[in-house]
Parts: sequence; C-alpha cells; structure tokens
Amino acid sequence: MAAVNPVSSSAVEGRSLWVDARRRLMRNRAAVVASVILISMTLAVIVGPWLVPFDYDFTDWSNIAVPPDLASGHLFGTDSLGRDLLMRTLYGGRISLLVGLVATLVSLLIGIAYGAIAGYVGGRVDHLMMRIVDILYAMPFMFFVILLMVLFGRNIVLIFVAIGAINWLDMARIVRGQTLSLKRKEFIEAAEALGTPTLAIIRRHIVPNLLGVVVVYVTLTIPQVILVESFLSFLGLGVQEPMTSWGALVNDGAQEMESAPWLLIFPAVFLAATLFCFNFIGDGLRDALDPKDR
Amino acid sequence: MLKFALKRFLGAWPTLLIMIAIAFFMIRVAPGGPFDSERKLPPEIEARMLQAYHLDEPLYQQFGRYLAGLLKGDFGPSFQYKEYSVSELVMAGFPVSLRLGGLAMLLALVVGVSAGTIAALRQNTRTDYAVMAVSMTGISIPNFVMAPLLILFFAVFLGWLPAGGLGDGSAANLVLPVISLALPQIAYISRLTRGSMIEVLHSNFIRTARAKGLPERLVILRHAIKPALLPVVSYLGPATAAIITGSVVIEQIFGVPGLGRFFVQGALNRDYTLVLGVVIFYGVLIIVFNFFVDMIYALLDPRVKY
Amino acid sequence: MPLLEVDQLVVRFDTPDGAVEAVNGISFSLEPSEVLAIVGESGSGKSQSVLSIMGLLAANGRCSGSVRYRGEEILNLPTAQLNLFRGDRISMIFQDPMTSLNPYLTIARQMVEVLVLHKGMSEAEARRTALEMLDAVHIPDARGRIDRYPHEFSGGMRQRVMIAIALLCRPDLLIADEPTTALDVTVQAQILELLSEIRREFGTAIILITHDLGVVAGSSDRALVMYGGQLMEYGTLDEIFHHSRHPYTRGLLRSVPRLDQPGLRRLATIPGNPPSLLALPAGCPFAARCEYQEPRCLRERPAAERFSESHIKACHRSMLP
Repeated sequence: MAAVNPVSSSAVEGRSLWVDARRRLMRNRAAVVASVILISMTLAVIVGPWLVPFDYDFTDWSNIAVPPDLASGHLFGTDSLGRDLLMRTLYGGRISLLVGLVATLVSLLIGIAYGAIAGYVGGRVDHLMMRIVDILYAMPFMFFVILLMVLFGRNIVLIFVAIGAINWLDMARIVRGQTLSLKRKEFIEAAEALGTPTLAIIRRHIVPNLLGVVVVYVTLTIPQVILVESFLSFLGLGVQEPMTSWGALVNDGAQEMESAPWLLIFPAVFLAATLFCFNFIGDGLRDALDPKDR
Repeated sequence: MLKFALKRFLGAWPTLLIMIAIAFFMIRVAPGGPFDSERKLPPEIEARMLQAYHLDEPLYQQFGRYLAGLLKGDFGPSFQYKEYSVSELVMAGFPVSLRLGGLAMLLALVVGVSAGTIAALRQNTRTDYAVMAVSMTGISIPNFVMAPLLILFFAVFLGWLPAGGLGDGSAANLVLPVISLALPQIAYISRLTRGSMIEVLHSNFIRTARAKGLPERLVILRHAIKPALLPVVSYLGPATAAIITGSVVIEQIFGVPGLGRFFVQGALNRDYTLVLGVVIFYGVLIIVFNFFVDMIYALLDPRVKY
Repeated sequence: MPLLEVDQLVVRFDTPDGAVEAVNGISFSLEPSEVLAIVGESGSGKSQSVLSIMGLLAANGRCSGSVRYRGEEILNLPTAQLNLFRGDRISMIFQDPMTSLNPYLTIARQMVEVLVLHKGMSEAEARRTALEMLDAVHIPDARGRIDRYPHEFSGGMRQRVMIAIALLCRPDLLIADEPTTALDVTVQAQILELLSEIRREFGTAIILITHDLGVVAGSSDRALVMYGGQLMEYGTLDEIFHHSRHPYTRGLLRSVPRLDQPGLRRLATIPGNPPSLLALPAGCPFAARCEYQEPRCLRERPAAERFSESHIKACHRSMLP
C-alpha cells in the first residue's frame, strides 16, 4: 500500500468510535433533553434540601395536609403529618437516586468480574459458571428480596446489596458474550503470545473494550433498580419512616389520593420523569454506540 | 424432540431444589421465630408448639420433612390463619391471580405484538414515533404509580369503573387491574417486537422473498412474522415472572384477594409457612412455564438442536 | 428489441452524513440470452445498480434514470406492479446463500410459493415442478431433501437451491449478485458451470455481478467495469480482455492470478484504496490511483465515450502505451 488515497484515509482517521458516538448522541434530541433534565434533577435533589426552609421530618402544625400554596411556603403542599412535600420529594429523590447508583455499581462489579472470568477462562469453568447463572435466572428473585427485607429488617445497606445481587445476571451474560468474541481478536492473541498473565489481560484489554456495553447497561439498569426500590418502598418494605424515597411517597400519596391528590402526583411525576430520562439516555447511547439501521 | 423435552425436564429439577432450599433456609436462618411477635408464652407451651410444628428438630430434618410434604402437595399449616393449611390458602388465592395475570398476559401479547409490528412496518413515521412514545411511557411509569393514577382518573374523576375489589365479579372490576398489570409488558413486548421485526425485515431472506415477487402482505405473514416473534417467545418466561411480581402490588392496590395479597400479608405478619409456600408455588410455576416456552421455541425454530 | 435497457441509472442513499452517490449514471443494454458481467471492487456500486432494477434498495435509497424491460419502463414502479416481473420474468440470486434462504421454512415451501403465485399452479403441481428444477440444478436426492430446512444443506447446495428457485418460472433474465463469492473455490467452479448450463438449456440472459475478472473470462459475452459508482469501460469480452483502453481495467487484468503462464510472476496490485463514497473526488474517481494521471483527471469527470460499436470507456487519455 504505497499511496493511500488522501480522501478516504482522512475521513476514517478523525472518527474514532467515541467521537462518532458522541456526535450521534448529540443529534438525538430526546437523549440530549433527557440528559439536561436529569442533570437538573440530580442537582436539585443534592442542593435543594439546603434551600427548603423545612426539615424532612418537621411537622408544620398550622399547615396539615394543605395543597400547594405559595403563601404558606409549602410549594408542593404538605402531607397528613404536616411535613413539607417539596422537601420530602427532594429528600426521597436523594435516596432513590443513591440506591439506583450504588446498587447498579454492586451489580456491575459482580457482573463484570463473573462474566469476564467465565468468558475468558472458558471451557468447563465457563460452562459451570453459566449453568449457575441459568439456575439463578429461574429464581423468583423479587420474592426473595421481599423475604430478605421482611426477615432481616428494612435497612438501606441490605436494599443496596439485595437489589445489586439480583441485577448482575444480565451483566454477567453480556460481558461473557463480549469477552468471548473479543478473545478471538488479534490484539488479545498478541498479548497472550507475549506472555501477559491472564488477569492482566482481562484487566488491561478486555475490560476497557467492554466499556461501551457497560455504559449502556448502566444507564438502563439504574432506572430498573430505582423501580425495584420504589416497588419495595411501595409495599412498605423499603426505607423506613421518617426517611423516605419516591416509592414510599407514591405509596403514601396513593392512600390519600382522593382527598389530597398532590401527595400522589408530585412524587409520581418526579419518579416517572427520572425513569423516562434514564431510558431515553440509555436508548440514545445504545443507538449511538451500536449504530444499526434504526 | 422427546429427548430434548426429557433433558429439559430433568434439568429443571436441580433448579427447583435449589430454589426451595434457598427459600427454606433463608426463612429458618432469619432472626426471630414465628411465635416471637405474640405475647410471651410459658416455656412448656412454647416447647410444645415448637414440637407440634417440628421446629425442635435439626434443620436438615425439617427440610427433609418439608420436601416430603411438598411431594404430597402439602405446604404445611399456616402460622397465622391457624384453621387453614397453606395449600388451602394457595388454592383459594391462585384462581383469582391466574385470571388477573392471564388476562394481563393475553392483553400484553395481543397489543404489544400488533403495536410493535405496525411500528416496525412504518419505521420512522409518526405512527412509529407514537407507538414508541406510548411504549416508553409504559416502561417508565411503574404499575404501582400507574394504577393509582388510573383509579384517580377513571374511578374517582369519571366514575366509570370501580376503584377496587372484585365486587360481584363482573368484568368491569377487572378492567383497571388488568390494564395496570399489562401496561409495562405491552411496552416491553412492543419494543421487542418492533426491534426484532426491523432486524428481520433487513435480513437477506426477506430480500429474497421480495425478489420472488411476493406481495408485501405475504412477505410479512409468511416470512417475517415467525422469526420476528421468536424473541417475544423467549421473553414469555421473564414476562410471566414480571406479571407475577406485578400482581403482588396490583392486588394490594385494588384489594383483589389473590395470591399476591396473601404473600404481602403473610410477609408483614411473619407467616413463614404461607410466605414460603407462595414463593415455592410461584417458583414452580415460573419453572414449569419456562419449560413450556423452551418447548414452543424448539418447535418454532428448526435450527434448535435437540 | 433488447431484453433490458439501462439508461443513465443513478442510485443515491440519504444518510445522516449527507447523500451518498452509489451509482452515477450507468448505461448498458442486454440482448436475450446474453451474459453480461458487471465487474468492480466492493463499493463500486455494482450491486446497488442491480438491486435498484429489482426495486430492492434499502429504505433510504433513491434511484433515477431509466430501466426498460422489453421496452417497458420498470424503474421505480410501485411494488404491486414490480411484483408481476420479480421472480417471474426477472429473478435474482444473492451473494450469501447461507442467509438468503428463510431458515424457518422448508425448501419445498419456499419453492412452491413462487409457482403458486406467478403460475397459479396447485400445490401438488408446483411441488412436482419444484422437484424437476432441483434435479435440473443437480441436487442429489431432491425428492428426499425437498422437505428439509436450509440449514441442513451445504453452502454450495444452498446456492443451487437459490438458483432453482430463481429459475422456477423460466425467467428471461437472471441477475446473479456475486453468486460464488461466499463459496469454496471448487464449489465456485461448479456453480459457474451450472450458470452456463442454464443459459444453454433455458436461454436465460444473465447479469453476473463479480469482483473477479477470472470469473468473467469463462462465462460471459460482455463486461462492464465499474469504479466509484461510475462506468469505466464496457465492451465485449475480447475488447475488455485483449484491447482494453482503460487504465483501471488493465490494472484489474494484471492482478488476476494466472496459471497458464509459465514461471513465477509477482502478482500485480493496484496501489491505494477505492475512494470513500461520502467524498467522491470532483474528477475521475480512479485518478488518485491511476498511473497515467493527468492534471485534468483530478478536475473533470471523464464522459463515457463510444469508440467502436460495442466498446465504451470513460477516460481522458485517448491512448495508452
């Protein structure tokens, strides 16, 4: 290849996978809007509680179960215990987002380690490890988690672990599949030929190459986890009063929706909006990183 | 085919055993016995009760006894509802749940598959975007949020439908619970169908079918629909699990006296045998269902090796 | 009257990065039972030009120009009207026999449907005809295998099945898009042999798309060489192989491995890569790789120029050494 065509080579050069993906993502209006909303929401949830003049468990005896009202200072109204709903929604958001993030991280770590090892080592180990995943897949996990919450008390660390532990199966499968196909690629074989130890190959070559899938997976897992946490809180098995999360607030709101519909609507909107945003971003990322004809 | 079925059938047993074991030991290892919540019993009575329920035996013996009971369809007595056995409670709640869940699944399949197919055939048109937007809504709004909102709107606001309970058992009572339960699944199935249909429509064998001069209707119905639905068939297993899980909250919200409601009540009341029974019952159901899904898949795809 | 006349065919794709011109003004014609080879590297537009004739472009593809079948315009016909030709008068087989048959239907079903549709045959009659055709393309034990699924056949056998399906209605024209590329060398030769046999026995005209001039030599009457979506040279086999007037054709010819010449000879290659279709140069698409490049080759596109009754080339150089 003496004279490479100048046009084609420059067109190829400046467009690595990530540059390309970012360009495509920026063109996806839904994903961009969702990111902006999500970032604002996260900021609001982090900073907001310092700006609201009421504590999350403070009872305003003069304003019990009042609708949203500027004059009283309760922008979202108060619940039947006179607690400020705006504060509680923001505070609940902290918990929901935190659970989403931490539990996803837990499942990510387990899933990547498990999947990468199974895929990379291969053979009988892989077979056994995947058989275990298959068996676990058939378990009625939601029920186990409910059992755990009932039996061992409602504690937030347990929620992280329980939800994280049920979500790693998908990740393990995805990572294993990717690892298997990556393993056959030349640069891995080259590293093997150079005598690089197995663990180092997994860490240095396979894990970085899995990044794309992982990023998509994370954005799509966080909303699922938030959902599971809200589900548990809704059943009264999640975080405990006076702490709260969006799921718990929806549950409280649903009890009194006929007399005080705002108690249901505000947290429901926050919860749904967050899930929407994550799903849009996840979809956008997937399309951007894996541009099939869609 | 028969060999394949047999293999799958035998393969399901270890899964089943592991599931039962996890559930059983989780409950037995948990701090606090079943009688802790009640007022303190005199020691000799407590000992007698433990003996009556065989709780004084070593764990493995209890497990063996429990398994033996299961084989006879006996889940043991309920700790809470003392006059009923768990089996009786399960059999009382299950038909209600089955009706609810079955209808939801049916609705999800019919609506999800048709919406997904239509969206795929009109890819990147307004119809497609509309279906996808609705589907995104279904995925992003959990059913326990959707259900109260639906009640608020259709029952409280418009007064068209009852807000809860089974009432006289008429169909109107089922409309809202079934829709709330089905919505997320409709969303998933329509997205799944759309995605796989688009992929199939881009495949080489569809190009061949078009090159043969087949009218578009035949291209879709004869050549595309079957491969496009295979992922939906695979999803039936997880969908069942999701509907069962969903029924737990939906029955709670609408006050439907189904199995899910027993489960939540049992869990909150620490009625261990009832909870254990429901978990195992649903676990078995999911495993059996997955077995049939595997069989259907093998029948549909000639390339599956037996 | 020619069987097929293609005039100034243009194929464009709308992509997020702008319009891509895959085929830029190709013209050729085909007589009944003639074999035309369209030769070019990948991305030269050879496949897209025939797919546009069949109305099989991807959804974002647009085509213009004119394609006449027996004098009748067929380009951009509505699908319903196109379906009167497709599979009946004009058939097509594809590059990848492994994925071109529907894996979920038996061979019988995939064959019978064509005859029922175009010839109005009964199922039984169609099945008999299908069996005859499988015999004609030399599928051993056709009777025992017609009810099998595609995955139970080898690649070569699947391509034979594809050919059998394409021939069921005895079409006037068979378009074969790289029919041998995905196959083993020995199987390639058998499939090519089958195609010539078909032309002899059924009098079917064939458009053979290939990137391999070696394939062209043994099996066609005329050849059209494409590069970067444009026609480079078009002529009879003799004109292309022995009197080529185009540097690209000559480069291609030099890079065909030959077994009939004695001694070891280093296989020539054309340096460089084909241009990106997203950024086609203003001048001749081949200019950047051409050893006879002149300044104006980079500026203006050479027009297709006819210099004998059957020989056309698009090159600014009037004479090559």
